[in-house]
Amino acid sequence: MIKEKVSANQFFLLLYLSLLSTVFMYLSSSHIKIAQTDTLLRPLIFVVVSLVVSVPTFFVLKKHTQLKANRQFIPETKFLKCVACVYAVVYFFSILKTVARFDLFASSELFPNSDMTVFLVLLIVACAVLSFLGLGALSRAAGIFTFLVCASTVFVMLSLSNEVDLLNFTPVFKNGFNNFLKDGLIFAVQATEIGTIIMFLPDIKGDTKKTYIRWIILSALSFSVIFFFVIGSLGAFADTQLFPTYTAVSLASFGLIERIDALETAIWILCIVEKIAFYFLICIKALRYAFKGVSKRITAILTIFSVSAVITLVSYNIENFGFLSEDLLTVVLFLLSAVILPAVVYFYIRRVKPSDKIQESI
Amino acid sequence: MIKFRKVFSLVFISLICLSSFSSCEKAGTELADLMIIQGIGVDYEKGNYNVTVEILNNEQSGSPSGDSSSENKTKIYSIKGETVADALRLLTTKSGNLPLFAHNRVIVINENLNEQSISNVLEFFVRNYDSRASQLICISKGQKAEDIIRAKLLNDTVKSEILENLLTESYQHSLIPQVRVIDAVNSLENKAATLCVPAVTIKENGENEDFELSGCAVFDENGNVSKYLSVEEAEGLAFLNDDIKEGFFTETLPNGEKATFVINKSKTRFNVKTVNGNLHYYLTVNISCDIDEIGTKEREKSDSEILSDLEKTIKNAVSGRIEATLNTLQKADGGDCVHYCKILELKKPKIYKTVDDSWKSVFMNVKTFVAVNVTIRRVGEETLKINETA
Repeated sequence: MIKEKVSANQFFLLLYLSLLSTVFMYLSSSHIKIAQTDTLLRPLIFVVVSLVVSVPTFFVLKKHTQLKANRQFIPETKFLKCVACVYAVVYFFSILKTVARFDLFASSELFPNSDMTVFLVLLIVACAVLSFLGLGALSRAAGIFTFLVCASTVFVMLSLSNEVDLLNFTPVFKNGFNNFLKDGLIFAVQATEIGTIIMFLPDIKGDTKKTYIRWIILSALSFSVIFFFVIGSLGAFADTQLFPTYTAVSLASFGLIERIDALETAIWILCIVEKIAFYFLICIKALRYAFKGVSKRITAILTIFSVSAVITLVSYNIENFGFLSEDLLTVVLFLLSAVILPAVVYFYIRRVKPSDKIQESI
Repeated sequence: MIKFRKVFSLVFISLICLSSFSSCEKAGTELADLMIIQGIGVDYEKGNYNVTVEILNNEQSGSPSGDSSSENKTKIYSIKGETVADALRLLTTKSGNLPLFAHNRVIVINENLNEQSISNVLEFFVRNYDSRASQLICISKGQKAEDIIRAKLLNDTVKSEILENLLTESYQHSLIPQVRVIDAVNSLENKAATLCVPAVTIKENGENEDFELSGCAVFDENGNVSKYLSVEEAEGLAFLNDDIKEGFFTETLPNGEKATFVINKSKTRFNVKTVNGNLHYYLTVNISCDIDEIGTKEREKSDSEILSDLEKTIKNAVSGRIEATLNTLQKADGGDCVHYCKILELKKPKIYKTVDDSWKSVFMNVKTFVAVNVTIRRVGEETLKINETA
């Protein structure tokens, strides 16, 4: 029997891997041009935005603590079932965005001559199957994967250190503070992971709030370090590349090992698999809360079918990727998952007392 | 049930992993069916690109007997196309194999691209997924890029490998800058900077030919070669770009004898000041050298006097090289290949904003002051002075 309860550290390692996969395959907004050095400061905006939007989550956390971590702390009402549906839709789109981004990456950099449809469907099915293992398994796997990812990333960065040229940097805010701010905000709103915290509160042991703040700061620091090496080694060339992080990694070599990018890509796929499996878990959990009695398998099959169908359509044409990469869609998904839905949940549970009998949680 | 799921997951993930272990190109493609490109030469004539490629002769390379006498190690093809990509794709119709660009070592570009710019040539190499950003670039001076790729070298070798080694080793010895696709694009993206690419030519060697470095080609804003730096002038670039790896130089000492020094470390620091509205660059070169050879040993002078003379010689040599390079670059049609604009942008961003549009003319009037601090680290196994008792 796999334990469902996870420590706060394990849970946030899972979120870290998920966020890292976004950073590795991040596409800068094409209509905002920022100076190279500003890229390093993007994570600062991420820290500020993440802390500000987390206020409703903090309130839910506080209430959860007051209720002494009762597993059934969210009541079951029709309205909250609708909220669960919205959660499912948000993370359904997040899965689509992640798979589409991976599709673009794989079909542009890894297997450009191959039809990715079968590979993508296999990936989606594999992730859905992995999500059946539950939060416990995913979080514990994240602990191991984080070590692998960090070790390989540090190795690549060290290999890249010879390539770093300080002349590749620019004065801060060279293209204007407004552009930097817009770019930073668009970067920050990629973190739909923030919205997942309240869904798994009953399953997280330890001080969630402190670990959350530590997660934000350490994530931002690590992203800045990654951007430092990418910009330091590529300079303005980074602006010409679809996936600058991958291009920078492809420059790295260590002795006779000249294709470190192959190793790093394998490690990135681990992050992507973790992320998609985690989002599947959320979708299935939310749908099962909303539609009581529907079996887990049927929910999973429906989700797999829907994601696969949409991805097959999206993959057909580069313009379709544009829709899933739209800044507006990203902002809406982020605000819904990180601000609005947690605020609505707090509104509903604020009057719940420890003595109240509540049914199954989300 | 859980055990079944675990086994199923493991098998499933393993299958995905196995299916991901493809070959370099399409899964299932044999190595012999690939056109492993080693070097690419690009000429432009009469509205078409003429692309020449050197590819590995897979049949010969993969011969179990290892017989290398029957056939050449490489094959060379030339083909015309409307774009570089067009020509390279058309190669399949000549060789019958799929092109693989990932192992390309060097791109040779004709000095005379007519109405085309180097940006047009590089576009394919930047965009193509298979093409690596670390490929070296050089210019064919006084002849076609095709001639460089088809050079009749003494041995049956991979010519592009020899050319790559020449460019890499010359860079390591601080004789020329190293220009990869990524460096060229970075220079072209910066409107104030000027691209400077090593130039290569062919020299006859009896019945055969050899590659020879022929300085560096300096590009104008339209992406065409505007002038050349000689081999001697190009030597100053490494100091100006703070890109000294190692190297050597031979100079005449005050006593008229020659001495050769090996550079083991060098660091150039920059400072920029505005004096009476003019930009003054202050370069401080800290260089550490070993003595490789001295013409004759001194009798009269003490060790410290000899070392002082040697240090003065090195100082003059380094500052002379830097000044010669700058003189050439600052003359008409020259350009900023030494990142002065970037240094100004980082050190004095406000001043840079006022001059970035007219940087070319500003650069021509920049004054440079060079200070060289020399350390002679070792003198070799021999003493500096003749031992009188001996």
